[in-house]
Amino acid sequence: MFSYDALAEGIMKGDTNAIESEVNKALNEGVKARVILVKGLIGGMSVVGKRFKAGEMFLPEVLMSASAMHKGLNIVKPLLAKSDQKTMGKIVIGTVEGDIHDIGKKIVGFLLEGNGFEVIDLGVDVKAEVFSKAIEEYEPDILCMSALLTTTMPNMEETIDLLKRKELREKAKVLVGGAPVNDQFAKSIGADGYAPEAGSAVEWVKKAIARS
Amino acid sequence: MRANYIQFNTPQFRILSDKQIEELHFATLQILERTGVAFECEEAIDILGDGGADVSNPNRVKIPSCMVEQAIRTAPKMITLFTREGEPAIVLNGQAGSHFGSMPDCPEILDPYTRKRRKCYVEDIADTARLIDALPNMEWSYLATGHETVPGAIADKVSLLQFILNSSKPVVAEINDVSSLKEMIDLCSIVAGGEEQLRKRPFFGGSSEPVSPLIQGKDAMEKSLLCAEKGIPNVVYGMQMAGTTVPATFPGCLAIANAEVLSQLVVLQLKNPGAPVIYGSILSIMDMKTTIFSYGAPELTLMVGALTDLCHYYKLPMFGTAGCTDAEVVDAQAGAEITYQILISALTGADLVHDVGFVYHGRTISPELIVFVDEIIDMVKVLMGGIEINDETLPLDLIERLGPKSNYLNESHTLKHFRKFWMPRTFDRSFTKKKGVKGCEQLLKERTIEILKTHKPKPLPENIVMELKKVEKTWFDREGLKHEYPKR
Repeated sequence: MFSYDALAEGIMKGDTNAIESEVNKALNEGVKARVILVKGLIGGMSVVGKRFKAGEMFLPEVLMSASAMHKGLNIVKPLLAKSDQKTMGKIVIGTVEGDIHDIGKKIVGFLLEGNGFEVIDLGVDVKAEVFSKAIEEYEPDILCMSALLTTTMPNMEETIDLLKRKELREKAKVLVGGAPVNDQFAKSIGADGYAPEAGSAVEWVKKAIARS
Repeated sequence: MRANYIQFNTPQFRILSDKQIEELHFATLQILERTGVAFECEEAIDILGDGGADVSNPNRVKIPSCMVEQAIRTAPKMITLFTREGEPAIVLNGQAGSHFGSMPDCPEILDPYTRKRRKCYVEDIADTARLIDALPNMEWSYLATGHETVPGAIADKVSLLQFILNSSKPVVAEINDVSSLKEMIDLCSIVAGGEEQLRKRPFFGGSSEPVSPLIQGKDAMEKSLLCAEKGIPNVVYGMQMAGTTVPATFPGCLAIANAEVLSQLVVLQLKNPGAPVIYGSILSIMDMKTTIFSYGAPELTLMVGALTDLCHYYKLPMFGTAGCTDAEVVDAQAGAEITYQILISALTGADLVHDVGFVYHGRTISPELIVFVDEIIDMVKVLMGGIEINDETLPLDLIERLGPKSNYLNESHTLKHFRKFWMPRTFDRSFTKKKGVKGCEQLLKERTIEILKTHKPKPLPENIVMELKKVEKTWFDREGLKHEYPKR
């Protein structure tokens, strides 16, 4: 018998095999893909998120959970209705031009994926034009930009300006982050938000998507 | 007379044994030869190719061990940094002890007057530079591009100029890009009396950072190559974050850090054999609860200490890290973390040690913490002085003469030696407190403010200052800015 507890337990432990078998069991027993996703997978991950925030789970454990969750997501995804797929939200993320620092942005990407969002990672040293093309191509809900260097921070503004010129600025909300970035800077360049670290980036994205 | 007698002039301390060092060295050679390093700078790739490396895939440039060994051989084993006035200030040779330095231009400052974190302004850079100038145990300074103290891309140069105007001590700078480095060298040449003089008696050094794991970015490499070409001392250091950009285990972290620095050293020694390079890295952990890079972790001190052993095996000067904390304010946690770091740094003998005064994960500089660390270094110096045994320090005849039931207070021997006891400058030892206890934090604040209010650095000649200001104006002009600093 399929049980939500077993599924949640599998996510908590990052047990990919358990997730695969529990999700398949659920489908065989006629549970709807959407319910498995929302109640089982995303529900399980939100417990993980809470425990991470409370300091009861650590980042590598959270990432294991996220990848287990993804295993389940990949099984149910083709079975979801179009409208349900959309509720998960789509995020384009990248480190701005001139900056080759990867890890902070990657952690944000991993955690967002782990929370059920579709993440398109454009990598590092991403030019403004590449961000703007990605907005046109993927139509994401959120654009996340990262910079570790003071010298590359202005390229966030440049990207936002380009989006304005191309009339794409309203297509996606913009979230910025990275060690030298702060709230004030985010406001000054016309971003919608700033996250000091990965956990709050996920919270910001969740709220922003819930509002839209 | 003593025979076959060895005296320890300092405490003896090692983290790694010779065999452990060799194993890490060979592991590094294997990474360089087999795994490879990504290079993003054309000139570096050409230099490596001509030197015999396999550059068929720039994302995995493979460097044979003989090239690495050759680079270690040609790199200088001793580098001297000078004052602005051209006097020798710091000798970096692996055995002259730790020389600690701070950083006046973090994005934020913990204001010593209000005790609040706030944005750093140009005036703060000048103030903190004066503080560094005044404190005897702050022997040099590091600069970190000036961040947003002035708009545009000129903050790194403005920051350097502010330091030069407010302190005679040597300075190493993080630099925006290679054109900025050129302008910095020009600026310092004005002070030194020409580029040749600056090369001979450098008070200025550059720095460039590999990105973990195993990436030599274009900008960093170009800066390094220019330093090598000009013979300007250059700090090469990465920031490895155990568990994220490098393995979570210490040896894995050390081997990658070593490979990152040595692969850059190969390029620089091929470019200009004998180019002065200061070897470094800040290796720490990512705190898996908060995702911060920890500046107060004991693992940082352990790994930087081990890397110092490795660096000194190559007889290269080490760029260490100490005197910083994860705490947001100057509190008990800060005191514990800085003391531990300064002590281990001094014991391992890391040569040029930076980051004194960092609070809040390297985002914020605290002038009060710099004063605090200065005092700790003073105490650690006592320990590093070791114990010298001779007939004067082990006065058996005096002990014999006085015998039991005596006292040493009235003896000329005591009078001669008691002045060597360490006396606190800031810490409080008073016994009766009629007016109540001030506490260490209050004393640090008062001393910091007193220095800020009173210390006047040695001025530069008026004509030099005018020339420097003229150059500064050209930077502002080029950016289309009025030649003035944003007000604090």
